[in-house]
Amino acid sequence: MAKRKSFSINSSLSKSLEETVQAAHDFSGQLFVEVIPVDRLELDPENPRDLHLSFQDIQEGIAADDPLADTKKSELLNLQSLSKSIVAQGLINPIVVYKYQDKYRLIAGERRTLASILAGKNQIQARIFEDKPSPLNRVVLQWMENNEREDLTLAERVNNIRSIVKIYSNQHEAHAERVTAAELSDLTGMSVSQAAQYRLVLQGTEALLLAIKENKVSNLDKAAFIVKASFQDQDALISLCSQGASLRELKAASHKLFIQKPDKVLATSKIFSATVRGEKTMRIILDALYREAILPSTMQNHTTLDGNALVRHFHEVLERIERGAA
Amino acid sequence: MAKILVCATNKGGEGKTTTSINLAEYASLILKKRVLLIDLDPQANLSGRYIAMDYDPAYKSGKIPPIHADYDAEQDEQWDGRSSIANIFYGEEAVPYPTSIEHLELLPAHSQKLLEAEAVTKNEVLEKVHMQLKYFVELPDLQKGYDLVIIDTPPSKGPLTIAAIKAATHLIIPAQMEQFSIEGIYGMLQLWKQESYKRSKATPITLVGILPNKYRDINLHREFLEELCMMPGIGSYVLPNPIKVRAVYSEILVEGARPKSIFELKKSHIAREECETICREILNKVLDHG
Repeated sequence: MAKRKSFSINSSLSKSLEETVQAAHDFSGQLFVEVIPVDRLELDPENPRDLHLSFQDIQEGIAADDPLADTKKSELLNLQSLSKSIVAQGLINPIVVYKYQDKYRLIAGERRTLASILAGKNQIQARIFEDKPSPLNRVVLQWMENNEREDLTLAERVNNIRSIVKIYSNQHEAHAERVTAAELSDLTGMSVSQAAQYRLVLQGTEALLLAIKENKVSNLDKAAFIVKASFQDQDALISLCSQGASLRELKAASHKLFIQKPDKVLATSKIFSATVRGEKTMRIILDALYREAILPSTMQNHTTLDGNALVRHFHEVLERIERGAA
Repeated sequence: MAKILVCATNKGGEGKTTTSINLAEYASLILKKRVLLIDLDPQANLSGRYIAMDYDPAYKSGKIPPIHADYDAEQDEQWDGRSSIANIFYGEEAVPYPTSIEHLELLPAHSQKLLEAEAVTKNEVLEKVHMQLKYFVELPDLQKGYDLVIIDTPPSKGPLTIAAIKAATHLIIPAQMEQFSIEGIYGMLQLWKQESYKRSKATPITLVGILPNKYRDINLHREFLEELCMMPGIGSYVLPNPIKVRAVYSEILVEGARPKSIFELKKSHIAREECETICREILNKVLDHG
């Protein structure tokens, strides 16, 4: 007798169906936008602020004897263009707040709020949460909010990501550099490749991070390219970038910088061409180099490094030896 | 407040139009509720059941509504006498048509205008299509004039379906117990989820349920239905009585058929009993709660 046919909904489809319904229940109403009076808004005292300017400063003017008057004036100036666009088109992205007693506390949208007050608005569009979100939820939310905006600088985006990585790694008791691009992508909803670029940039040199902060490097692709470039080329690339070089120009320049190196040793070095797999080998070599005082002890910090940071340090050390600078 | 019930799934052939018809006729004929049926599907099948649609002279396969009985060429200079739900996407007034059923009125489709609304570019969508139906059903005259608005949608997840979901207070998803249909349920649940995120707690979009449709007593249908009912989270949304495949459901749609509605069949007719049970169950949820 023929076997009875049996049918079943495939497991990934049934799992997706269940997750969708669950998510609808869990997050219903969370993106609801309401209009709230500006005078019921307050900053969250537990959140670090980006600006020194207060609501009061805008409403009543900056006091002449305010020790931060100059900083605040320049911040006020920076808010003018956003404020003008709010007058012309209204607020495009609502701010995010949570209910706190009879007030609303800001989760995201400090600049938008200040610019709205500056634009003479008494009310503002806001997404409202019933309770204060967890620290990780808050930074991820800020990221989701900010990511939709076009007026955010690379420095602000990198700072957002740094906060996410920091809180996430603390929660998981892992080193910040161990947070993978896939995890970052899951948290923020950006693509894995974009997450990988942010991850690289976070591990950039102080010089690069400063250049990003000063808006000399303002593009993620360029910043990630500079991190990947060899250590001694980075200053030149940052300088080119601040002069407005395109990514293509940076790539061409990097190639030239490499060719112009006086010692061809780099390309033929046995050590450098060897593939070192695993941190253990790198640590043994580094330990030996420091022990034999081939490298200055001021460079010695590899015991605190792991992952990509260790690899970069290892490369940096090898390059110094190749250049005879050790 | 009038309730806005949307019948939607992105897969074609699941029974959106037939379900809309049955629910509207049950509500008007049996419950004596004042019902407005809205046909958002450019195929205009629903419209053709209640009024004699004209073929569009400009687009051979398209249909347009007939001249409205209230139209007076001398007085209505701004109006060409035809009125469809597509008008609202063009900033024009929409005038419902009466039907042969008491308490049941219709805003028919206009194939070409609906197709154009469905094809607006991304930047225009929100302003021109997404919110228009919501604004329309919230008009005081409409709210006062009807107890229930039922919207039949095209088989897509495009701007017209999204507009319907934004206007909805309640959503029903008809589906066959087959592979592609279950995938269609998933597509609709995504839209419902996204809309739920954006609604306030006071104005939710209630998922009335998944209606198992065109059900046959075969292993495939039985096992898919059983499995769907057993899924945590989903099971409670599956309506317990499926609509079975019956010739009478198709016969009743034929032009000039007598009787014209399932609810004019003998009370003891198996199809009428089946349909009444399901419509009662759905409309109890829509009209009595929230």
